[in-house]
Amino acid sequence: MTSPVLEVRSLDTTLHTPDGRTLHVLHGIDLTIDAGECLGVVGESGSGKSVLARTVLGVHPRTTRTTATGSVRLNGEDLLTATAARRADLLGTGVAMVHQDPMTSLNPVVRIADQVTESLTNRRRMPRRERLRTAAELLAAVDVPDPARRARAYPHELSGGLRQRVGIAAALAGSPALLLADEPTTALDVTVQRTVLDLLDRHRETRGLATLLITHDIGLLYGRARRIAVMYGGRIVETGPTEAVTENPAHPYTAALLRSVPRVTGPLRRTLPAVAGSPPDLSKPIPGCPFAPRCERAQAVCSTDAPPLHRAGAGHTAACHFPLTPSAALPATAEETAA
Amino acid sequence: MSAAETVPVPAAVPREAAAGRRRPSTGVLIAGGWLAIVALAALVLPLLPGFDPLHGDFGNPAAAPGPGHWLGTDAGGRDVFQRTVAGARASFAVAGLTITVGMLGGGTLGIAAGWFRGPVDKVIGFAADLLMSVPTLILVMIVVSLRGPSLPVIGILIGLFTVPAFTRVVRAVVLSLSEQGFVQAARMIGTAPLRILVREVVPHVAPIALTFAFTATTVAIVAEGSLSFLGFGLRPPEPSWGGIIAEGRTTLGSAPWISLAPAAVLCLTVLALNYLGDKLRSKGGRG
Amino acid sequence: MTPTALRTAGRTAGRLGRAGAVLLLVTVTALSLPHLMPGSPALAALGPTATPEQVTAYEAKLGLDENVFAATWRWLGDALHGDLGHSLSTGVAVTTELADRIPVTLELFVAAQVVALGLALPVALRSAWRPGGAVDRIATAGAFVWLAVPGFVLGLLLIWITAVQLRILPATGWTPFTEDPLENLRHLVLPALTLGLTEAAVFTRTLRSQLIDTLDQTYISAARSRGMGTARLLLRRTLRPSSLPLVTLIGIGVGTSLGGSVLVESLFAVPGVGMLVSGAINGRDFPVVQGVVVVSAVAVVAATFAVDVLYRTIDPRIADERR
Repeated sequence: MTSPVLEVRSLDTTLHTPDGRTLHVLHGIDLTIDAGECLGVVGESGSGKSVLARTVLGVHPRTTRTTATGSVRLNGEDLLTATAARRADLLGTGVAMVHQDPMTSLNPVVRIADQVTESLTNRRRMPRRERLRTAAELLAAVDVPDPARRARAYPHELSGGLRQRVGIAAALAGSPALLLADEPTTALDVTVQRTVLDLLDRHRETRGLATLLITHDIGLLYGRARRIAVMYGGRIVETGPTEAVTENPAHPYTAALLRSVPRVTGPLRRTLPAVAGSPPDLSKPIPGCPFAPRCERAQAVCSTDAPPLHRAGAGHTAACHFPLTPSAALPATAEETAA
Repeated sequence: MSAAETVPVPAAVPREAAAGRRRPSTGVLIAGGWLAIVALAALVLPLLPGFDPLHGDFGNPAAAPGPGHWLGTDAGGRDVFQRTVAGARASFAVAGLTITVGMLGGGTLGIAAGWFRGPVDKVIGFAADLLMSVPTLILVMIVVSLRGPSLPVIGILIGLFTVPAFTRVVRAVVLSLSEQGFVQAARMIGTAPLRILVREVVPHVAPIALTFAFTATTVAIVAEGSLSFLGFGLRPPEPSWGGIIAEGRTTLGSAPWISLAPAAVLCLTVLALNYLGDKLRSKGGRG
Repeated sequence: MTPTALRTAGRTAGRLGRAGAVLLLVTVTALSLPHLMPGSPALAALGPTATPEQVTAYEAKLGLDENVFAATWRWLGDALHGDLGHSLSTGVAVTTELADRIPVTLELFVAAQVVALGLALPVALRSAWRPGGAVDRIATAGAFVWLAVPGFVLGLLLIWITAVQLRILPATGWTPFTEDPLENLRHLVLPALTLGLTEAAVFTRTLRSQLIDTLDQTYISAARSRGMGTARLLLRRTLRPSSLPLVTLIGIGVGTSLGGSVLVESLFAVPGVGMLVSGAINGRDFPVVQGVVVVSAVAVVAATFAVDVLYRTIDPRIADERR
């Protein structure tokens, strides 16, 4: 068995904000991604999923100081202990990121061609003609129509969907082994979302890219991510093959998340089940399970002891004191039973 | 205006949290203290007997600062300290005029431009552009040379040139306020425009005006100083900061305090004003 | 023409019209200046012993005998033929005087901008990259204090330090560049510093603030995530989107530099336009004053246009904006 492209073990990340607060954003993150595999990371705002991507990438906002412990191995090399020069080397060529908002992730005064080839031009000089040519090739690979003209254009001349493709092309330009996609379709129209995700899938398969697909919309991951990791409060609460997690969720949070996805098929529901309460305050360390205050199944021990890893199936684990089993599933709502 | 209203206009001016609960910072105290000292000196000292900035102690020309003369004497034996104090008076008088003209002119024009918009706004904008296209100092110099360098002339002129900037600020505030719900609501129920202006708009312009007062004062001090330095200010021997500083030019090597002492007072005053103006702006200048 | 081109043409025509209106009004104002004097300007200039013929001749020369619009029309007509009148004191053509003096003032202006930008760019870049760091704190405090020092005080201080105490630079005077470049530069240093240092403080503050805003943008961290080094990031990706307010400031600086140069040229005895107009105002030399006022208004209007053009070059979004 080949070794995984990305292997994260016991990753803890702490943020020190400019106004003096300390946030324990990630706690005990373990995950692996193999070549050509897509791991979906799903969670609500504040679950830490974006910080996870940034920690792996190694690029943080300038004003916030970050400390990370544990190990993040890219093809066996631990990024957290690597030198700054080595990390800078890998940016774009070993690991690359597709950003969320296509409206703000491209420099408005720089031509597309110059931006999309940055992973290459940051390492060696590229004469203008070569840059334009390479840019056109990169854009063509992401299905941008009329790529040569678009390469000469400025970002504001392109639609949101096209700009996001440019972002993908820019990320792929350096032929990275690992691609981090942080909510790549959140800012796009629904019709465009699917094409962009299909594009990512295609490149993943042809290049054998390991992909980390972050989203708050679990529905996007069906059929795309082989495995899913569910995050809550800075921890991974459940992880496993997509079918297993979505059909037999073991963690109450996953189940609640799945229940709240609007479905076209199935019983007609008048109200969308939501999870009461709000995400935990990350400035204080949480002794037990972060979901305890909002969990229907929580008992006293959930607030005091860290939940153990429960094995729900092959490669399917959940961190829970009282995990759901197929027999002890969450009670169906009245409407679901009525159907 | 009727005293009774059938529907009260919503009082949307937020009551600012009681200011001054916290102790003002050291910087504010120092700056405020300096300004208070200068203002007091300018107001009070000239009233004391023995204050004569024009009196030349000919036995003691160009004396270095010492116990008798705190800031030394100039080439004519006149006490630099007293002349500096008198100059402060002139500067503050000019500043007062500048603020008045600037606020009245800029405030009215800004409110008019922001409230009525359309052609009124365009005309006012054009006039502001026009004023900004002419070199300010040169124009003031011309008028002063033609009408005589009196305090009112200088003060009003400098004030006139601060009007475009203040107009722009007031106009922006009025524009953004007009968009807000409470103004539109008041308009919809037929409240007289004047009432809306006075009750809703003006209170938001007031903090901006205060910041402007500080800026205008520094502009006035520097402009008046520059004018006097060039010889277009108050005629000597009437002391004004720029004039005193100019007088000391020729003796910079032998008696630097003649120029540098009033220059230092000027700079410190402007610094204090800028500091307080900044603090004011960050604390609540924006309505 | 394409719709965009039509729109641009319409916009440009509108702005040209407005600029023309401004210049017209400035000319009218300039020509009306002699009327500001209490009493008869002719008598004031020629003295109480002036004969009626002398008075009439004086008034005719200044266009005081006709109404202001006719005078403007005539003046503009002459101006377009290159005739701005003659100095009342020296008799030299105003255009000749200006031609002698404008290059000097221009040299001063350019030198001041070089000083200002040369200081502001590196300091602002460093401050924005490490806000709160040593350079930032010193620069911010320094700029703040600096701005409290008016131009003439700064000039005096510089003279005192360099010329009086250290005696390394000449306090006043001027040598044209064409005569002796080195001497010219020696005389240029103090006036350029006086004008440029204050501008540097304003530039630094504005640029720093814009740079900090830009550096927080996603596209900057996106560029970093592709492995861009700090130097390239700052110079090639951050500076340009942040430079618009700075360009505006430089444009406005053209207007204020005229006033500033009056001061500086008087202080350092530099024979530029500032000194010319200063003397002319004192001497009630109206043709010279009028010429300078109108020419400087032209310069300001031209600068505004230049700023607009630069805007479009720097930020391509503006070129396509629908106004």
